[in-house]
Amino acid sequence: MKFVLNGRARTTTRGATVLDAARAAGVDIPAVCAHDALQPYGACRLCIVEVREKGKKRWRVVTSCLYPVTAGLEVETDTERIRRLRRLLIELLLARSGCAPYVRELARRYGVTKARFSRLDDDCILCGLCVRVCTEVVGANAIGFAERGIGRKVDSPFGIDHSRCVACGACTYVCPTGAIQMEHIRTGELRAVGGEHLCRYTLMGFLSDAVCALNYECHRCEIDQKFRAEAGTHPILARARKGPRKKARR
Amino acid sequence: MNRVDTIHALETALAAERERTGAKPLKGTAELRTVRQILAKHGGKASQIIAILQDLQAVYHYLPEPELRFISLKLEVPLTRLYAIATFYKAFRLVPRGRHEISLCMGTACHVRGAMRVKDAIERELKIRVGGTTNDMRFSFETVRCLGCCGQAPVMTVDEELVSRLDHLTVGKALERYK
Repeated sequence: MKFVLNGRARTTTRGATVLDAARAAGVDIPAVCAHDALQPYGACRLCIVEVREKGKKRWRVVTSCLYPVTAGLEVETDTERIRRLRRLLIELLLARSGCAPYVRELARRYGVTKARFSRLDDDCILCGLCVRVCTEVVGANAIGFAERGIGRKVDSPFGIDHSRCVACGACTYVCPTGAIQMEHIRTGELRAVGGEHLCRYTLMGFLSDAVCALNYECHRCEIDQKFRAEAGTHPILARARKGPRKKARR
Repeated sequence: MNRVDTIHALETALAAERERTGAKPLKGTAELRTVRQILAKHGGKASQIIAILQDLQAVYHYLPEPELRFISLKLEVPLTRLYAIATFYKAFRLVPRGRHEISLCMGTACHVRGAMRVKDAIERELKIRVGGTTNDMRFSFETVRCLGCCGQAPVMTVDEELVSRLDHLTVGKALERYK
């Protein structure tokens, strides 16, 4: 499929989104809530670009992660209008999560120094990566969104129910700001919870045996050590990149 | 454990939990009969989830956790999703509500004609604050914006009934007929 990216003619595969096509062409578009292993979501809005369909006059601002490339589409990723809108979005993020290093770095890159909005100091920017990885990739459905508007947050059912969580840590891995963290519970305490919640690798299907030869002491476990050492490859995401296990349920 | 076993286990656990906590006994032997009927009415379709929750709330005045878990299992909708829906819409509630729902109008006309005094009177009478529920589960009390009948101000609705031309001296009496 032929299209025009920042004034240069490009080709891409059919069905590709503007974000995919731009990244394949080496053009960087900031996107917080996009992830290779997940379905596009369009929550962060940072990946906005200007597009003009073939034969149309008007330039429109769209989220590139959701917008499919059509034949003859013109895309501009770095116009003054886009930069202005993006700065506003970053300002909003800065007001919400001004302490998160990720957000500060983003603000620095776009020259946003101060947010005009009231501060919230919540590290969670509601990108939905953790919720989606839990649903789409892990299939555990342990966390989801709750409430709405300014009260919106990521939560487990009824605020306390963790029974579906397999402690895989995928949510902490994808979280850009570090808002969601694993709690290190000692094995003794884990045992009191019940045997079925002990080994994340068994629960994820990487180990077949439910009985651990190391008596569930993860610091002695080779697989666990490897997982910690290999920054950038959470096992469950590595599997997902090859092809999602199932499509997201709508 | 397969799904049918899980549902069976859940039902047994629910019955035990109801007994242990001394929750109000459910009519008949069939635990979860109400929610089963509601599910059947909507053909057990996950696409009908909002309607199902509305019907459930019409019966219990709130969405009880065990019933939500049951729906989640039956419809194969994750509990996180049900929780998201139940918290997203203001119409759904997750905490128990009283048998009668008082909505006192605080619109402009009612305000001018003393809705604040009526509010204080109701709070004193029922010994609850706005948004609260009496200990005997008889009343829940809320304020709303405009009920759209300013000519009869100040007004409130109790369940679906309109109670109009209130004042702070007689509102207690007006509530007596709701048991």
